[in-house]
Amino acid sequence: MIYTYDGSFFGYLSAVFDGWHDGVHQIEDICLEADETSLFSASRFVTTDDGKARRILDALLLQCGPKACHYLYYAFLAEQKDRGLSLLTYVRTAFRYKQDFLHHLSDEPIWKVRQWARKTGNERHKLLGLARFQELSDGMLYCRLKPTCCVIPVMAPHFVRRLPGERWVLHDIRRGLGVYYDREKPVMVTIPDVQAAPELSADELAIERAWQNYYRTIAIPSRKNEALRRNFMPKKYWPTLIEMK
Amino acid sequence: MDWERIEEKLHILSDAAKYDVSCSSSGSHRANTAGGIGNAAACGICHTWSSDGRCVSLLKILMTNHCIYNCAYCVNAASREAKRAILTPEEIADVTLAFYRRNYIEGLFLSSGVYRSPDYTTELLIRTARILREEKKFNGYIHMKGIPGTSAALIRELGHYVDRLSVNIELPSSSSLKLLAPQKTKENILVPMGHIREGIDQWRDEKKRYKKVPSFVPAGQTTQLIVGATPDSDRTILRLSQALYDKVDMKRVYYSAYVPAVTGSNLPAIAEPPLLREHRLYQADWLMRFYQFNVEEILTDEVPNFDLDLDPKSCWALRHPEVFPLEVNRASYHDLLRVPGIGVTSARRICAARRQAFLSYDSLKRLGVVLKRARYFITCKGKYYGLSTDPAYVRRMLLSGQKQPSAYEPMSLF
Repeated sequence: MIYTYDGSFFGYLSAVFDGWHDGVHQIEDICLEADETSLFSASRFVTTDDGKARRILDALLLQCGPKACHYLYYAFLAEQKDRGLSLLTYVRTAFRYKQDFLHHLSDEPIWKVRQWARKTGNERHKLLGLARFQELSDGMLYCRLKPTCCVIPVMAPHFVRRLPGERWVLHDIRRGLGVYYDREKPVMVTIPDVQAAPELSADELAIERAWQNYYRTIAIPSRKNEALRRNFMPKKYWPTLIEMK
Repeated sequence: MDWERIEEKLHILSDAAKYDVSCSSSGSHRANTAGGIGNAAACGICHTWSSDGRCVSLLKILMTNHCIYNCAYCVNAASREAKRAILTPEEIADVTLAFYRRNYIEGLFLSSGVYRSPDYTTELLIRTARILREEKKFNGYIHMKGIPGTSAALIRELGHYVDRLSVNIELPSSSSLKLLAPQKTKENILVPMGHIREGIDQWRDEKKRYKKVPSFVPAGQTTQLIVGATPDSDRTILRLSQALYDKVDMKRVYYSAYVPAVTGSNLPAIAEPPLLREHRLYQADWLMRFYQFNVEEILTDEVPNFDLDLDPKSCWALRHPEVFPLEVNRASYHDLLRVPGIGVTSARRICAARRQAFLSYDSLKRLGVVLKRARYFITCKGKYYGLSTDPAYVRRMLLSGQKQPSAYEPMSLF
């Protein structure tokens, strides 16, 4: 049986829950709704049920500790191709070890998921620095990002702590997703493709110019080292950076 | 605000501040307050990297580049012809907040030329910090310079507002100081450092006794040494760093390869900044702070300077063949740290993993050990995986496996 879900983390866990209920060994794959299913196997769509997802997470937290949950969520966000089955194997392995989970981090299924989780964690940290807000004419701060992993949901809490008195949006243009914060709590939203550039506030361009000027001045010409810069700041992030325009 | 005028001033004042190396925003975890803006992340966050590959985490500017001192190495020396500018405390606060809201920066690094007198300059710095912290309720990172010759009371006041204070030594010996910065003395520089240390000690002590104590330089104090402007040996520089770590509880010492930005009769004429030497000093610095090395082990009287071909830890290991090879399943944490190719993280992992089972050679790789280097210095379950323990042979192998250290040298196609 191939289980399909809506693409959310809780949707995935619901599918795992149902698959587990039907018998782990008959699960052929757990994938997105849109994926083409093979001719010879049946597929079933699982509606997201927070209750089911919570039961898996709570059990994992209780039996294997917070790190096990953290790895699972971050690895899911890395959106690797074979995440459907790999994460399932991970959950099963973790439940087998229970308290001993942390002593078996180098076991293949756990190791793989940890590497994915690390990928997401690293990109999150990098983008916490590389995110750039622009002030729009209504005072809202707007940030465009094009991350490889789906890091927007895990970046939001950082900015909630840092800019609690502002209205802001983190916009993932690769996935059409966003987090909107209205001075009270952040919400996930889908943002349709808009062609028109948002209207900026009066001072915005002048401030951007000042920043660009500062950025160019602060470099020491006789130490120029493009390779080192690209090491830290890969070119894939340049299009959304104000100083690299 | 008139952003065009600000931009021009920022240009002058950041151009004058760029030779200061420090730009870290770590070590402080200031939480946001109600109605305030910003917080400090303990891990530090880099916001961009300039074309020389250095990270930009803070808005690094001078308050003014007017200066009463006339240090030979400095671009802001009084007698030098340069465009001068000054930013008022209000302007600095506004620029910082505008940049911070847009997530360009993690906070402010404010330094200054000595304007009128050290005390007067520090008072202006204090006013800037006070506006940011009290009026604007800014809780991001602030790093400020302690101006040599400032009175103790003012340093104490400044320390309560900022996360980090630093007083730059710049020249690693009194004789160099006399030659290049005749108006400054060693005491002038070391006294404010002592004040900062006392303040930090007092804060730490009070924290244990009372529930709420105003913070004092929570991210510690740092300093900077210039490398290559004077004939001082690497050993002199490193011994000074060791003394600073031991005596004034310095959080970090930064090394800055001397960039020939200005010319003068007392200054050496060099074409390229000694970047590789600077890199070796940082490596040695890390050995002292995290690898339990002592300066006398890294550089001796016979070898007062670094081997530019090989890192200091490998050099030490090659000088001490009697210690190696070590059995990874038995060696202590302290000994593991001495093996080239094993770092703090992998040494910790080895210690944790060998409680479960004997470590095999293959499992070491997964623990993060760089076997390319470590194989010559360890045995695993009694087996040695390098071909020979002969130092000359090992040195040749270490050098052959090495790529050109391109990341720390300016690249050039021709």
